[in-house]
Amino acid sequence: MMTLTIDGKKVEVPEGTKVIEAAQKAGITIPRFCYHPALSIAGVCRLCTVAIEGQKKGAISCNTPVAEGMVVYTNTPEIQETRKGIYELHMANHPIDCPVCDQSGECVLQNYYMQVGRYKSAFKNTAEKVQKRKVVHLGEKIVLDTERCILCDRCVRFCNEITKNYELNRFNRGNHTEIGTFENRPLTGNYQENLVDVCPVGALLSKDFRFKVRVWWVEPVDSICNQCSRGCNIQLHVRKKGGQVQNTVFHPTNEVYRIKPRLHADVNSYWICDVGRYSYKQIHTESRLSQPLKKGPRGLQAKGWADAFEDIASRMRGIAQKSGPSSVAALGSAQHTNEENYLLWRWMKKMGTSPTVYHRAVPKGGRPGFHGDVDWGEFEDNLLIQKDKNPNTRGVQAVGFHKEFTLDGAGLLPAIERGEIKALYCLGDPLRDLQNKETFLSALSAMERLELLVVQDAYPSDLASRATWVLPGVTFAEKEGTFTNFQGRVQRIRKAIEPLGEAKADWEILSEFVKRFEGGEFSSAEGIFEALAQEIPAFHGMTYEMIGSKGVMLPLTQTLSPQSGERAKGEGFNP
Amino acid sequence: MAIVVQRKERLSLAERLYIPILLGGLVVTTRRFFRNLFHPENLVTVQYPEERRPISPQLRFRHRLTKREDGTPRCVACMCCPTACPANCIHIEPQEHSDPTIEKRPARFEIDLSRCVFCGLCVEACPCDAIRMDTGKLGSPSYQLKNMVVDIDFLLKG
Ligand code: SF4
Ligand code: SF4
Ligand code: FES
Repeated sequence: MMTLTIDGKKVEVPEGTKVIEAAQKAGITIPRFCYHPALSIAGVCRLCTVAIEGQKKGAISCNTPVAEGMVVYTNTPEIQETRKGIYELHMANHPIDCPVCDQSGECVLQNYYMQVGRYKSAFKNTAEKVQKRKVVHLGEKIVLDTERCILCDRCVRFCNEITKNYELNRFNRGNHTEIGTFENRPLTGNYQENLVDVCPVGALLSKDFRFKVRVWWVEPVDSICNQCSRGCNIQLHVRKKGGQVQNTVFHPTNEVYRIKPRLHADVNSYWICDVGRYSYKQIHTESRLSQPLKKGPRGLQAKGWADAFEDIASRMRGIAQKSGPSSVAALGSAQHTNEENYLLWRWMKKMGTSPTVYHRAVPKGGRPGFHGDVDWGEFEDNLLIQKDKNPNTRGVQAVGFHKEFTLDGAGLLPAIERGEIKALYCLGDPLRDLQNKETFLSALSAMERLELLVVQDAYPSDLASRATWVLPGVTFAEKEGTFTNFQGRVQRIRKAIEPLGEAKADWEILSEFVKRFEGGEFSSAEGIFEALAQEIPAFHGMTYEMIGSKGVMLPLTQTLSPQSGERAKGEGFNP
Repeated sequence: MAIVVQRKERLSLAERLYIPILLGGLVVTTRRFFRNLFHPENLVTVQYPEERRPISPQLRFRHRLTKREDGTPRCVACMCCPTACPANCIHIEPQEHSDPTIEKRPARFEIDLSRCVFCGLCVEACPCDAIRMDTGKLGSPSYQLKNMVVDIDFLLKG
């Protein structure tokens, strides 16, 4: 440990810490462009220059290790002047086209200019600025503006150190230096959009988000990605209903506009994959269920919620009375939250049966933004993407569903065929992505033998179209809850927008049934989690407050399971 | 806070007699009548709508969108004006511009004049001098609110 003084504040940090990090610890943010905590030190922007007692010249704080008794000043008049000079050089060829630039509003260059820049430029003739390439398409996801680039090298280091595909580099020299790919080849891989986050200015922009909405019109909502079992920490950027009212005709509210990563050192660091980033598109697709549907003589017909609850509850009761509780079954889902699976389990317990089977979605084919030589369902890599594409496999197991619904539905399908099971309540659609066409068809026809089949899902499907009742649930952006990732970390998702149409949060639907079967009343996901934490040993003692923004691990006995992969293989993952 | 007018305690004799004061008023009216009759060029009344008073060129008129030399809008769809607009009546949908040095242009640009308060903040906010309120035309009254939403073609015509 070493003690140093920064702007009169004493801090103690381990040996080898850089001054910029020590200052951060003391609550002082030194302006920086090229420093990024997850990347190596480049020391090219010089903006982080500070004064150190006993040294004649300023030193860059991002590359100066602390020393015992060091005295650092970050804001002396000389340092302020130095920064202005550095700023002036950074901006010498910058087009200053903030109004058009999509980064505007979240641009580091803009923000630091207002904080520490504000120089009087000596470059009077703007026509003398070096003109460089604008709107360079680097593949299908990223667009580059080389004039806005401040040559901080963060993007180059990201490619070299994190994804290790060495795709970006500097070209030309001096004033004419540009970032680019060799022969303008398109960028590849599943982590390209992170370049947009890493770039402090508007040089690297997301084609998906560009021109869509100004960043000051969206607000962030913390959540967890549901595209694989890693459970990356994310932010949904949304225009809330009744929030920002400007320009709503072409930029509707109650909509998610993009997904950004949120730092979690033990889960996803600063990154997320592009599939997760584009997954908000699944929220606003055309094909969503928005009304309860009931099977009638002419196919599925729209009905009200009161009807649905009444009819399903009384039929369930009837079947359980006539053929015994074991003729009623329920299917848990690794796509749904701990709370929802728990409610289903609790309801079934009340009916006198104990559900044990859960299903995982094994998505076939591709996904928007996915590059890989195998199906997305099969794909995994050593950075973030896990083979299990379900956000809550560990959770649904921990709640008490032990058997996975595989080809024969873990004995469920034969039992339905034999007529032993007469009523089935499906959370999600277990058949959605069954790989094999024939098993899929035979499973479907087995399901048709049921007296009562209820499918609660956000999307229509073949199974749903054969159901007695279809109950419209919602996507992860429209409800509260918790997912348990592959490490056994329980993390919170939050409601960002209002449910589509008449759809209801899945926990709301299930709590209505629990109430009707005298299993207790729940008015919030938090309340359900409290009950869950009391009843299910794996979750003992947990609360939403404890989960906070970093999550809570399931106890160790629960964290080792053959189902889910091991911890991220270290290489290139920092941390 | 109300303003209390202090009235005279007592009326003068002439006021109390009523008639002299009444006649005094009539004298003023009659003088005005004959002056207008013989010198109509000094009349204060304007025969609206046949006749109109000149409008100060500084007034904030209905908006227009200015054009580049090639006739396309100068607007780069930066959203500064809808951000500044206190009435939330400007709606813009951006689009890629074929010229990469311009980068962005409005695909649609609508102003709901029924909501506009003619404050001119949009003009102040515009970094490209693309929106002005100097058409010399006043608002567009209509029996239908939806007809008061003007689109990009209307705004470009000015
Ligand atoms: S493109 Fe962005 S990240 Fe890359 S060097 Fe330029 S400013 Fe830095
Ligand atoms: S004049 Fe004021 S109210 Fe009218 S469009 Fe412009 S900013 Fe909005
Ligand atoms: S942040 Fe230290 S030189 Fe760029």
